[in-house]
Amino acid sequence: MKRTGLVVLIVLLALVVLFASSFVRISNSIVRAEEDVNVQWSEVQNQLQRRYDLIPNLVETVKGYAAHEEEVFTAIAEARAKLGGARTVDETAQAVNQLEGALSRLLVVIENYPQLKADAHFSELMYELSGTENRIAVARMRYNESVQSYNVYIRVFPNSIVAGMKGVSPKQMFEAAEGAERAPEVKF
Amino acid sequence: MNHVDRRRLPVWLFAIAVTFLLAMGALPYPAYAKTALPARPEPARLMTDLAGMLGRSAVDEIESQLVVLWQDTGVQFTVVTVPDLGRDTIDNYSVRLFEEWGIGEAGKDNGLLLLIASEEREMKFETGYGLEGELPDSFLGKVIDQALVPKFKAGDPAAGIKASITMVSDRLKGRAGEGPGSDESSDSIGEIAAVIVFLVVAMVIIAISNRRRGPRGKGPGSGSGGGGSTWRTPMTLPKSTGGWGGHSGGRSGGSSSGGFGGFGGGRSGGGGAKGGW
Repeated sequence: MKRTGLVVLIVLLALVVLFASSFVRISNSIVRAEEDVNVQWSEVQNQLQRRYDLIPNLVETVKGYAAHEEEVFTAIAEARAKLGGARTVDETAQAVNQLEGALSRLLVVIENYPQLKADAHFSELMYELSGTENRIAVARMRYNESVQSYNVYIRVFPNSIVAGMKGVSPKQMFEAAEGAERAPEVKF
Repeated sequence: MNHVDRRRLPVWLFAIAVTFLLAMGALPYPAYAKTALPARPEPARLMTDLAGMLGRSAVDEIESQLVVLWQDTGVQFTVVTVPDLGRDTIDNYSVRLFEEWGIGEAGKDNGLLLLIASEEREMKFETGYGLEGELPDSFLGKVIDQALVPKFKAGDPAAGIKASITMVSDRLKGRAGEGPGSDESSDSIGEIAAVIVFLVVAMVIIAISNRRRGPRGKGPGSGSGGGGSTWRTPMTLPKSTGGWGGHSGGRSGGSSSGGFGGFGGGRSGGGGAKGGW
């Protein structure tokens, strides 16, 4: 009888240790996955910032040839200000979609100004903008992939138990606007 | 009866728990399936003409031009032609190919990919993170407009590629030359410190063990012999920029000047420029 008691105790102890260690392991994996999402998000923000900084330069250059296209310039300035104030993933996504809409209109306007398209400085800016659009697309894709991994990881059993105890919740994807899955096509 | 049950219960509990925990550990982190990309060339090459757009001699000439650029600057300028992009866009394809092949050295990300899609008549420069400052998109756009597109339109893609390498290499040579694999970046400071700490600890241990062994009359030779092997260990530590570029120790390929060593796991983020002809 004494020995049985001892065995039960040891088994219980072993169970506690095993549960604790797998809890720690899953918990650490969640932290790592979350950190990966954060890194990818900061890359998205980096690239958005890059475009944000490019826009005034681009608008100035276009204004030199097409000063009376007030409407487009105002729309861009508004969307840009909104992006500057965005805090959450959703707000950022909305502001970005608005900005992309305004930029597309600017690109349409540009079509009417052949002299502008021949401007060397403008052509450089357009290459920079085009490269930046693609960088944003890549950063956004990688962010969404990391979010998807993270969301799946914390929702499958038994990780979901650990996630519930830690109080972590699924992360938001960076959704593109309807019909705007692709970056604005920069052609000139 | 009762006695037996009580004894078996913990065993059963234990077995169930172990199975459960094994199942927990076996859950893989989800991976993403992606459509097929061409395999990395073996042995490693910088010019890969999968579309067969260039003659054999042109491929060799371009390869040696790229190897020279790599030896002079450490930049892994890689040119790849493909017959078609499947259903992918050239932007997407080039990012994926760059990542899959690991163009450039890990940490430095000094790779540059020129991808040419024959059927789509499109081309794309994809810049590694580490080269974005030196090779801005506007510059690569200029290379496409001035060097590549005119020659491709004229039906001489090899000449266009050669001219583009010259433009890139002229731009890069504006900076101080550093050969491939020279890595004195701040990353290695931690490693050097670790080696020093290791050596100090090793010497202390050797000193202590020698003193203990001394009175027992063991020859000093055995002590220093042990020390020697301890000293050699840190020297054979692999470099931190390893990746899978294990064969970057100078594989001499078929070409005369010694071939390209191998890609090192560099990354890109979609920067660069594209064009069509």
